[in-house]
Amino acid sequence: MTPEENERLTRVGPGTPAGEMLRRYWWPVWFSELVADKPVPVRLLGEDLVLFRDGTGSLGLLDRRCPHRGASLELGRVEDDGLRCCYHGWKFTAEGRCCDMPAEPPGTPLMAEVRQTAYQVQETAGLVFAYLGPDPAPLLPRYDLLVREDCHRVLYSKEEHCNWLQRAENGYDPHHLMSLHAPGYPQIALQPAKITWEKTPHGFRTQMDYPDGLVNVTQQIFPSHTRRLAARVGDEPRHYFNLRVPIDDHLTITFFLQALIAEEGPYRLETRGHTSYERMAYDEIDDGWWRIPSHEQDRIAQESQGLIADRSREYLGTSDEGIVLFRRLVTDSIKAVEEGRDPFGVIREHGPEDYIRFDAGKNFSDGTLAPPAIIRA
Amino acid sequence: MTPEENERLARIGPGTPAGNLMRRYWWPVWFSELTADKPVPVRLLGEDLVLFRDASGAAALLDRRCPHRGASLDLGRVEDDGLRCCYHGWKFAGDGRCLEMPAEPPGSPLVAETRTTAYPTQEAGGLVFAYLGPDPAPQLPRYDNLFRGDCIRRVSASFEQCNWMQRAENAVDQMHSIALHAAVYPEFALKRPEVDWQRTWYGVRAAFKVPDGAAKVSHFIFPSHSRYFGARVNEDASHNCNLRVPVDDVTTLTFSIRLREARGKGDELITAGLREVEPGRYQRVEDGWWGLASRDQDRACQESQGPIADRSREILGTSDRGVIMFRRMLSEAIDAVERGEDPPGILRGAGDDIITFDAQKIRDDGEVIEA
Repeated sequence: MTPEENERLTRVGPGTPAGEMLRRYWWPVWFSELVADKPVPVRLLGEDLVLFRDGTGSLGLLDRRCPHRGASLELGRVEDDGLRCCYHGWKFTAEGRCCDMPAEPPGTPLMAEVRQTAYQVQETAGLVFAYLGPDPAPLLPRYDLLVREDCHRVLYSKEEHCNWLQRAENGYDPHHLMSLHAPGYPQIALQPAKITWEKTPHGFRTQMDYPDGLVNVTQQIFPSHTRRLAARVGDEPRHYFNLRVPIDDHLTITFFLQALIAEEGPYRLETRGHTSYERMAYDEIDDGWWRIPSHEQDRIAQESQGLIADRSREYLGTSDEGIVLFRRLVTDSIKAVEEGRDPFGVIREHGPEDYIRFDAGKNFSDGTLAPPAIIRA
Repeated sequence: MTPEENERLARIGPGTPAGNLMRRYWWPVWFSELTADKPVPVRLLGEDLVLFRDASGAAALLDRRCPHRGASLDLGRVEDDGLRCCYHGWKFAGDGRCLEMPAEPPGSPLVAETRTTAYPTQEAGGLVFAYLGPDPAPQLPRYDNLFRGDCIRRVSASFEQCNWMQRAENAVDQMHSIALHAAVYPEFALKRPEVDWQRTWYGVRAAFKVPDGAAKVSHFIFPSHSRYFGARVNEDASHNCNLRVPVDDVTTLTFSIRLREARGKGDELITAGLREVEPGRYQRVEDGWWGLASRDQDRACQESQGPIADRSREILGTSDRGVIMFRRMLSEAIDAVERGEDPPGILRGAGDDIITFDAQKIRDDGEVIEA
């Protein structure tokens, strides 16, 4: 890959090729339960925004910069009908209309002229999703864990100081499991799997067949998400939807939606919120492998590739087939947007099913638990 | 405003248009009482300097870089007749002359040849002022908060991580009192004021009145200072002067001089010193407004405009006339300096009279608040 092509695939700001493509999707920006009476600063695709819930319960997502003289609306006050800037009291509705300019003369025409950039938002499964692209917005796909009701959910997010593409590629890279995550999955440590790729309307189904009949199936959901089952040492197996969100060129936030399917309610929703990290910082452990704690392995490996990995200096082998498939999807999607078409996976009409099913699962957990039957949602 | 015009007004390093203008004024750099037997690193208009007081008691201000091989003189030692560099012991007098080079042969001509940059200083109101411009220096204006007697004078300072202009604009922007300071001036909260801005020899006089009678008069002292009457909720009323000092393009140091009447009990100076603040961190309170502690309101808001506010993306209304007036003054002052003239507010031969200001606040019952 040339350095120019690498730039084209990785940069996410307004007007960039990948940035324009990524703006065709809905992205989680925060947790529903944590949007209360204070404005929340959020950042998405290189844009500084502020999220709030007005007195009527409507969510607003506005450009964070007050259009008057540029103070941050994050310092503002949430009122019944909008968000008021702290500096001179201009007030904006959730739709971005200006509805008060207390220092200006009554009836000033300026009020109707001023509009603040406002983006569409919707809530599902305890997350707030935003759409920053052109109208008409596509549908937020009815992925199983976003929609189904028969599960207990735990929500949290973590940040990685690296470009979104590194995080997304990790989902298309099944072979890293036997190495990077060897400490947590000793039965498959350094055991090459036979990988079967199957294209779906949403991305790829990845089946990993290891020796001794061990099977792991994950689903890649374009542009950067993974649907999988986690069963690392000491954990009860749980279904996961990892939504990897490009915050800017050098920061990615992964929203983890963890689900435990249960036949009977009442169903719990636990919002644990966000954890920040210092780049490349972690507590070393002594596990005979990489000395990286299980939950930090992906972050550290991908941060170590650099803020934006230099793909002009890679060596790709046959085992990197998934990476190649994924990069082709990204390239094709960027091209589609440039030609005025929808990129891959955008949904404008729901299918007949009540939600989109994914058969992610695995039939092994770790060396201490008896292998379960393949666990599928 | 174009991005180029914004740069022209905002940047203050050596050789920049606004930097040349700002070098025509005296600026406070530190507290008199805190300038003692240790060198103090200070930074002004993008220049790294070192302040010290020699045995004669005079405050001296030198380039911080030793002219020998560039070690920092803030690591040096203050001696009776000057400041000695830590690295090879070169010693400099307060006027920049080199007095000693212990490693050089006796009688070395290099001692007489070597001079470091020294800037004039003077002290007033508990502060050390410096002048970085061309000779002859103008007078330090005898503003009341710096020079009047029979008062309790409290001096303090704190840093803001933003360009000086954002802080200066705040001083001509009386309108922000109704929003940003609503919690501490409830009589003004979100009430549309009438404001009369009048240009004066020193800057701008602003008379502000809300419909039910509460009012205030405050003053903007060009290029970046304010003189007003402070009467915030839960604070002692006082005559205030905020001297906003451009440290560099993205850092401002505000010296605050608060006066309360001593009523014949003589003078008292309280040097509160530098208030430590963490960039981007503000004390939060529950006040039903912005949740910002009184003293952090301006800092938080102006830092949030960015390191150098992008004025090419603003929308200004009629209530921003004061800000527009200031920007015009600033642009004209830069032009004046480029023509070789003195900019506004420069005094030469003005005599010893103290310059007073009619800053006041009037409650909604019409009563003038006293300090």
